[in-house]
Amino acid sequence: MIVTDLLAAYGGLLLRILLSVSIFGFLFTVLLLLFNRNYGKNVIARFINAANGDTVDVSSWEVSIGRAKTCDIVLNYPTVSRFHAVVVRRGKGWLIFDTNSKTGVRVNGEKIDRSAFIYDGDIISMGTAVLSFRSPLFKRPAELQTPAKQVPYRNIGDDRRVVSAARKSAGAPISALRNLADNSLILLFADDYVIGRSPGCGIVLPVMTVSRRHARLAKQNGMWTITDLGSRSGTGLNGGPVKGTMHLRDGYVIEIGGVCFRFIARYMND
Amino acid sequence: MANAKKEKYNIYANDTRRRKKNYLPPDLVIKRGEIREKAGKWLLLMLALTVIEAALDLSVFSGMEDGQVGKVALMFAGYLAVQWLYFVAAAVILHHRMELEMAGFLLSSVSLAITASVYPDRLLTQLAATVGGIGVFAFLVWFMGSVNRVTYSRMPVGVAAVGLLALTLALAQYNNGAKNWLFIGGLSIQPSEIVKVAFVFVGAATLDKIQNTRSIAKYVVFSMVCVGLLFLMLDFGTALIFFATFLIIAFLRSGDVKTIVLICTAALLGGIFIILYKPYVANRFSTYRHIWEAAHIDDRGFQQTRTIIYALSGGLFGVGLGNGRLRNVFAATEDLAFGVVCEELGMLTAAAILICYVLLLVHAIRSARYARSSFYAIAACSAAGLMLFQAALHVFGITDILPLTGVTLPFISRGGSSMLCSWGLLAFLKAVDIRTYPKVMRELYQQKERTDA
Repeated sequence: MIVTDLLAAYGGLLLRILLSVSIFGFLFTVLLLLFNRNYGKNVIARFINAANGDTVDVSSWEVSIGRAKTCDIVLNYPTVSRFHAVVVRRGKGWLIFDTNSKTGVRVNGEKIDRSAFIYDGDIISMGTAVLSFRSPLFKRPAELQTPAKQVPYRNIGDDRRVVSAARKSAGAPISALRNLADNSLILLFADDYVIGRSPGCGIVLPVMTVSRRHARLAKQNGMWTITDLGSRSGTGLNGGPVKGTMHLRDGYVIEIGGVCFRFIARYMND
Repeated sequence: MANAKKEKYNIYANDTRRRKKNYLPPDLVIKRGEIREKAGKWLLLMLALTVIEAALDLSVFSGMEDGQVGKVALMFAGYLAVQWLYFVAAAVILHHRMELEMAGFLLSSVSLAITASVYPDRLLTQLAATVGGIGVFAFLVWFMGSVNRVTYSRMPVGVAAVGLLALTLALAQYNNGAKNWLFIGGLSIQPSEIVKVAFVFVGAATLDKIQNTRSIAKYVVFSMVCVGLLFLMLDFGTALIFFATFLIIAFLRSGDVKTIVLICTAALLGGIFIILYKPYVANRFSTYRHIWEAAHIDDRGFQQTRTIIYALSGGLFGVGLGNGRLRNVFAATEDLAFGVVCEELGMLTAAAILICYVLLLVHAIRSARYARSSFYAIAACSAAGLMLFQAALHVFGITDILPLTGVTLPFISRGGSSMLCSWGLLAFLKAVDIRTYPKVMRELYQQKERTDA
């Protein structure tokens, strides 16, 4: 009797309490399940600065590159625009977008129009900054593998006969420096070069960050060596600074005031 | 010398330290098999949801005429059937997670219960809108699966949105002081609600577009045209919501507080200018903070004063559906929906609904860091921000903390366009979560496996 009376009096209230509490509880449970995050970030790509070997691991799908502090990867070079480029991961692979930069973006030495696919091991250059891109899952397909483009020589005129004559007379292979930013070549005929900004140098780099007399390339006992000539920003070799005189081997990367060269011990171009 | 060089040519990620912290220890990385969600957990929740909804629906019948009960019961059963159909398709077959949908289902069913109790004749329209909303949600979630699809469709969507607003301005008649309703045949739609979804969709962009100055200029023109058209329609509540969303998107795109301050100052000056030279605009807000005065209490302050009185009388657990008195006030289920919920379902339910909007925003902000494109991050944060802002405008408007603008409460207010918009916005919150797209997750693991090897 008492139970039915109580139910008649408070049954409605009981139902309403149950209903509101269960609505509250359900919404809370369901939305807290949202916060039960069971995934994380993985390193999916890596950028390596050719000049000094700095690496940046990328774990997001979109990366902005530029001189501005708000970029994901900050390239503090005077030749890099504040918002220079964007690298994104889309279905098929990685894409690089040139976002209206002043100096443009080059992939493996070739200037891109607006966007281009990039693959593992590609060299991306923005102004004088050179980055090597690594993402092992995305290898460059064989049909897209083009031989390095033939580019005009710098500093020494454009005469093939000079090359072969010099090679004959020297009886030794000609070494060369390849500018990583645009794939241009500097052939080393003589045995001694001074690299610098001043017009009197053997190899002239008209860039503000290069000292007037920056470094010396010299052949000693058949081996090329590099010596820093007290430059302001220093000379780099494979990511480390050049101390005293250091030997060069094939494939070494030399950095002079932010400009990167790859040393080629035997340059065969005929 | 070496130091000078390091400073000059260093290359560094902006927030290396924070990113390092986010690397998961290896045992926390999910194995390949776990990408698929197990349906069991969601089945349990779905059963609980059905029980709660059935209880809610049954409480509607107590105060209803006998002639209506059969028809209404049939519609409720139809809504439950749609939910279960979606559940089977999404959770059982496609192995999707269901949290957001379930929250949406429950909120929509509160709206349906209130509609059934106040206007049983209009339940069918509301039901159709809810089912349509679920359809829009499913379509948008699928559509946003591909970044390319999104990139190519932003421009057409933007043009269509502006066209729709312009069409409304040209064709619409004044209705409650604003020109924001479009009547096509027997249907009445509120285009500004649908444009809200498009506004978020167009505003969010991939990173390569964000770094492009021309793209930003285009977006600023688009949003100014949208807000301007809404002003011409005299739909100030919606214009304010669009402007707030614009601020959120502008901040997310630029990351610059100074710009936002500048925009706000300009908007404030514009607002003062409008009030000075168009007095009828200021007239709309004349009752604000004066609702209890004798001149207004039964006139233009009627809605607010009654809402405050009746919402409080509901107490913690409400007076029960059908027993309230606020429902007799003009536009109670649309403009005063929160008051009706407070009175008939109680403060606890009302609080749960408000907390829901907050949690959705928190979810958007948390997920944004892991999103695969800035499009998803910006879209989710601005959609959740829009929802929260609109809810705040609604709740503060009816309680006279802010001027009453007659905006709807997302998911709860009666109204087809509003329901479609709410579900459409929810789709952005679903898309930001990378667990929504198993293909994307799988790519992530593949990458992990390969780099480890």
